[in-house]
Amino acid sequence: MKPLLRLKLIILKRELFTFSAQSIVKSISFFTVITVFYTGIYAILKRIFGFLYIEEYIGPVIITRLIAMTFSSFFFFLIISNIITSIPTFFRNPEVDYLFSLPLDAKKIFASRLIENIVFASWASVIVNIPVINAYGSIYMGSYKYYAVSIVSLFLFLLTTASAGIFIIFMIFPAFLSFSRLKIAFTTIAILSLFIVVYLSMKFNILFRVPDITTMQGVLDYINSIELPAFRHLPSEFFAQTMKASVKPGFAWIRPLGAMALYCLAGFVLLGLSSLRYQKLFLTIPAVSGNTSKKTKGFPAIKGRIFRSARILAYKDLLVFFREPTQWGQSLILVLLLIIYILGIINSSFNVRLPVFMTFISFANIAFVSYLMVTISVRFTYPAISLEGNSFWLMRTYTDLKTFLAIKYFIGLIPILLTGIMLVSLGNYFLKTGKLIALIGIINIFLFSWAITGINIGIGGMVPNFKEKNPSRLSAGAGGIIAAVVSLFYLIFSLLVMNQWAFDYFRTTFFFGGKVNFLLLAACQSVVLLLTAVFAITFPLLALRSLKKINL
Amino acid sequence: MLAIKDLKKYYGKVRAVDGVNIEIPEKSIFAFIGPNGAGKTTTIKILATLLLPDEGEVKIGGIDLVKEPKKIKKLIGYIPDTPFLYEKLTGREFLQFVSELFYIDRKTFKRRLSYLDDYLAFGDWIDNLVESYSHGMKQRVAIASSLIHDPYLLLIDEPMVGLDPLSAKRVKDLFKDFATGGKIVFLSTHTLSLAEDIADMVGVINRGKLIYRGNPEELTSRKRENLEEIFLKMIAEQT
Repeated sequence: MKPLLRLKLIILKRELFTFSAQSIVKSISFFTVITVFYTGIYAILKRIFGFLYIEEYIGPVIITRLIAMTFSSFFFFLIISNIITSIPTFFRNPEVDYLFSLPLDAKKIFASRLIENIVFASWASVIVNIPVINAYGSIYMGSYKYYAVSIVSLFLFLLTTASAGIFIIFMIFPAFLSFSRLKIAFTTIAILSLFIVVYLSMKFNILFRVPDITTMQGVLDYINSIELPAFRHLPSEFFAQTMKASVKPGFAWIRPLGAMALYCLAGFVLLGLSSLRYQKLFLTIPAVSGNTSKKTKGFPAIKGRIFRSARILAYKDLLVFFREPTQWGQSLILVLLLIIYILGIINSSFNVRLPVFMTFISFANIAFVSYLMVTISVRFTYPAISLEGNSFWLMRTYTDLKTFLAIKYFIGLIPILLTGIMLVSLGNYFLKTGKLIALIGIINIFLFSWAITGINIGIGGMVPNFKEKNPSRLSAGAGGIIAAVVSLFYLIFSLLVMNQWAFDYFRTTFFFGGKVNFLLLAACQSVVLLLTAVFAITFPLLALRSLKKINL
Repeated sequence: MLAIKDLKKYYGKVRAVDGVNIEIPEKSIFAFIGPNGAGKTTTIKILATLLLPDEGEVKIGGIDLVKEPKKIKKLIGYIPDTPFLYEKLTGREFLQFVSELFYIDRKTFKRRLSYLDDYLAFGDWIDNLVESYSHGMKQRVAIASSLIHDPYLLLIDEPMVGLDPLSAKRVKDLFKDFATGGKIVFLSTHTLSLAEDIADMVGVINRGKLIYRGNPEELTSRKRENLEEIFLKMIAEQT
């Protein structure tokens, strides 16, 4: 293990500390974006926690519930993230092929891949979790003990989720490869259903089902009902409990932390079982070159001359996308997100019937949907240019780069545009929103999808990594994070602009009376349109300039 | 001795390797030739312990490949058709890494590197990062990595890819010298002139079946044609 570990450390050191003008610019932009992101999340959470903290009885309970809910979501996301990254990390990888040809024990290879998998699958989540820990510690004036215990908990949490994800993939991946398409479809539906059942059993929205309380007993009953952990046996719940206990004096944190350690231990058992199967699985599944006996229909003859090269490129992209197993996992997450989101909308609309509340949710829905669009775009659109890999020379030689980028743009745009409009329309339908608000929702989602795609294609083209073949690694890399954060900045700014009109709309429609200010609406919408045009055009143009300069 | 008996490997309904029998004595260079998709790479991957055969038996130096893969790994040096190298290491560091895995002490490493440098002529490039290497330099480092531990059997898929004529000549000399020391070189190639130049034995594979094995000189003198013409005829006949 020692030579392998030493090798990885040398590589890591060189990746981090090889200085060139380009790498310094990249690092500075990356750290700036991360710092701004971290500060933003921290400030927002501190404000929310601070606001709740002063609410006697109910505030602290809601804070703990919010944290538990956040960690529960992370629990599932981290498992899925580990599942996605583990296929190319453990199996479809030329380095693994090479290592297996050396006199190395399979368990040692497994251990080295495990560390790599945990880092790739979890680092983005850690960036989001740290401000949660800091904001909570800052409100409750946590000591060094609090921070030390929380960091240990986070570490145990990451190990537990990684072992669960990797164990799942070691159990189902080999079976998936030998399955027929029908069996794969059935298994996928079964996994999706399982996740949905688990998710629904968590009753996340219990917090938002505020009852019409008129008595003190009612208030106490409500507090008691939300104090019950939604999913009390998950490691995420123990994580929240450890944080809660460690801000107080004494050693009450030992119990939940011990429970997390037990989970981690169970995780190690699963990892041990997985490592025992590793050699056998590696030898029985198809190698990197992907030998297959399946017959295909072949590339179709493209008829006509209109947009010919564009249509050829588009067809090639779709064909490659659906044949890449690492993309299937990503698509699974997308479907999962959409189902959960739709269920959430349907569920919430039955609990709150006041028009003002419904309209408010409808506005919030635009923000949530656009956030989902960013997630999808970073996962699928951002890696699109890098995934051309060695075949990028072909694009440079035989096609016009503008056409190439345009195709990537539209392939990225159409799914998020359709998904966004579908979600907003469904939301408005269930919320019974008025026509004006519904129209504004659709217009803005339409605009957002162009800008988000532009940002992701643009940054993907500005910092392409033609050597990385794994889309999930690309989107979890520095460029992917920058694309996500820039997209979020654009969204926040646009929503703040639209908020000027929304505030006026709420004031006149629901509280003080008066006419809807269409002039203000036109002004706000024009600013968003302008902003969208800037982001949607500038980033792809920068990508075009950058791609033209690449030495192949 | 490398002994392959009735080796079979299937991918679904496709017979990638279909009953291959080969015996290669020590001090030999065996050239495995055949069209694309004939089963060459699959056979080499089985010999490199990267794939399990479905049927058949492989013994390297008398050791069974399926039963004792760990022992086999110590006996082989393997270079795939697209060799893997760590881009953020220098050539020397990469070779040191490999030698560490084979428990080679630094003194022996220096001696082996010096021997390989005589043939492969790394020059100062050996201390540059792999990411700055040309295709040929990467190939030379890959070849060195497979020989640094002085294996018993060298498995190499398309050895001359990216090499200039001088480097190619040196690599051929290296292989000959290596085999002379009581070892075996098992190479797969499309370059028939290479097989003609250095191989003591050739095996022609098509659609997973070994359709010829023997001495290339014997074959060319018997048929009074060069290896390329014979190869093309063999493939055409079988097709």
